[in-house]
Amino acid sequence: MSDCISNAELNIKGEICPFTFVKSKLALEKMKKGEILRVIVDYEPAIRNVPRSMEEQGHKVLSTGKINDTDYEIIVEKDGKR
Amino acid sequence: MSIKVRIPTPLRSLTDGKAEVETDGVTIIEVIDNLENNFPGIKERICEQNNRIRRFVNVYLNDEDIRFMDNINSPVKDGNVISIIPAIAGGAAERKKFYLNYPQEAIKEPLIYLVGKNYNIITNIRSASISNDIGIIAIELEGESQEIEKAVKFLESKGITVEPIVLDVVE
Amino acid sequence: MEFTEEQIKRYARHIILPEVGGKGQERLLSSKVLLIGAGGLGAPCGYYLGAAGIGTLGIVDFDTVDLSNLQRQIWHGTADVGRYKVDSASDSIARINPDVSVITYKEKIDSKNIKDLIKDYDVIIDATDNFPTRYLINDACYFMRKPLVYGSLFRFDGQATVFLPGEGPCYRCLFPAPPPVGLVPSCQESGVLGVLPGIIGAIQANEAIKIILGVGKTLNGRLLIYDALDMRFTEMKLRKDKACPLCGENPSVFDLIDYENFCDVRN
Repeated sequence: MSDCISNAELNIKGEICPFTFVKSKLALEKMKKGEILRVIVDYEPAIRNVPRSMEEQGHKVLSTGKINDTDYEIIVEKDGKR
Repeated sequence: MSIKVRIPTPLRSLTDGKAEVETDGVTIIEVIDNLENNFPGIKERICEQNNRIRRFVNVYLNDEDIRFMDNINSPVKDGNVISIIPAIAGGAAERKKFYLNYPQEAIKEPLIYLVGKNYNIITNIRSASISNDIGIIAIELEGESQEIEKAVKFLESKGITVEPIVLDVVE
Repeated sequence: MEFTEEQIKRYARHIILPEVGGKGQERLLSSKVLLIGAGGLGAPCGYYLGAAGIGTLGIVDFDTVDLSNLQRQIWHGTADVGRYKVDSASDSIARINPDVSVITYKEKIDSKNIKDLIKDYDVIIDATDNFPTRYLINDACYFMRKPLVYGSLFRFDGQATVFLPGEGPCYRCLFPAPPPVGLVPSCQESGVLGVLPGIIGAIQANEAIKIILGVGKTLNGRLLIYDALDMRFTEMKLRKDKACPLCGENPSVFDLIDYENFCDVRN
């Protein structure tokens, strides 16, 4: 679990790649630079794919992890690498 | 000394189908004159009588339009590539078929001859039935769609009923 | 705007691109493109613009579908022969993407209606097949300051470029005047490889989308030449001509010239 306080949370359980990234990206586009987004997914490959794509596009992935039996979280800072 | 000249498809009938030919010359006009020696008829497609490049043709020395250099006197060096780029409008010639219904008073007029003469159109009669008082002709008009349209308007102005043949019954 | 679930799926491959994203897709969905000509160039161009989610796609063509069109005009089918091209085109777009609102104009474009036709659109695409209309479109786009995406072909040769009025050259900088009819190849010689308009029309769609998104480098100032027979793309410099009769230092074209005048050249 991350200690970061997120500015927004996106629950996209049930989504698979690439829509996990597409929806995360759309959520980030609505946020300001430096704000934190918490993404919750239940599709395991997404915790590798989504952070990689986010980093490629200039965001900073602060942490990823399993939060319960079925779900994972990705904590990302908007434009954190720009 | 060798200059490559790229030939656009409309002019390839003059270069035995070749897309690229080699020639020489130290200026653009010399190159064009040498091209004419090898492929008679090509110069008049590129130049006006006074050697000026036609306004709907551009000549490029490598990637530069010669109008922005010394025009036909632009110096040409060994290894240069000259491209001849004509204005092209696109589209393919259309071939459309129509039934022409002649009223009695129009039968004696040479209307199809006039269509071929006044418009940039090739006419081809595919079937016809003409008697003293009525004429029906199935005709094929080949040309740019605009020209075909003008020809149809002309025929209609002469009292002909022009009906497109939609289904290919003539073929 | 909020995307619907269907739109997120439909445009996912655009949204993923850093150069497009959700914002770019929104821009495409709110853009208006006018496609003049629903034939060989218009078909692939309109197909891709429709699939990309251009919000409003105007299509101008007065002609009907002929069997001899189908060799290259891929958005019309055999069953469409005899229908208006714009109706057939509109049906094709509706099949691909219901987000696009298609406005059809069964009109012949001329000096009287062109300004009204283009005035509400962001980008104009010249997908026509004759010189008089091309000069008319160029001049009108210059007067109305509309970006114009140009594509043209003949047999195996294709040309494409972008004219941005006020920023770059126009079609008359490239070719000041149209050829007289007798000097262009006769219709007997004319013809076109069916794939060629597909390639050039797709390039036009690509350029229109880039103009709307404001990304990349358009063909403004460059003339792209494509030789389908030799399979060669060449790029020529396209400069603004000081002597251009339309956008040069001493212009002589101040109003739209109707193409009927051009056709008299040969007489």
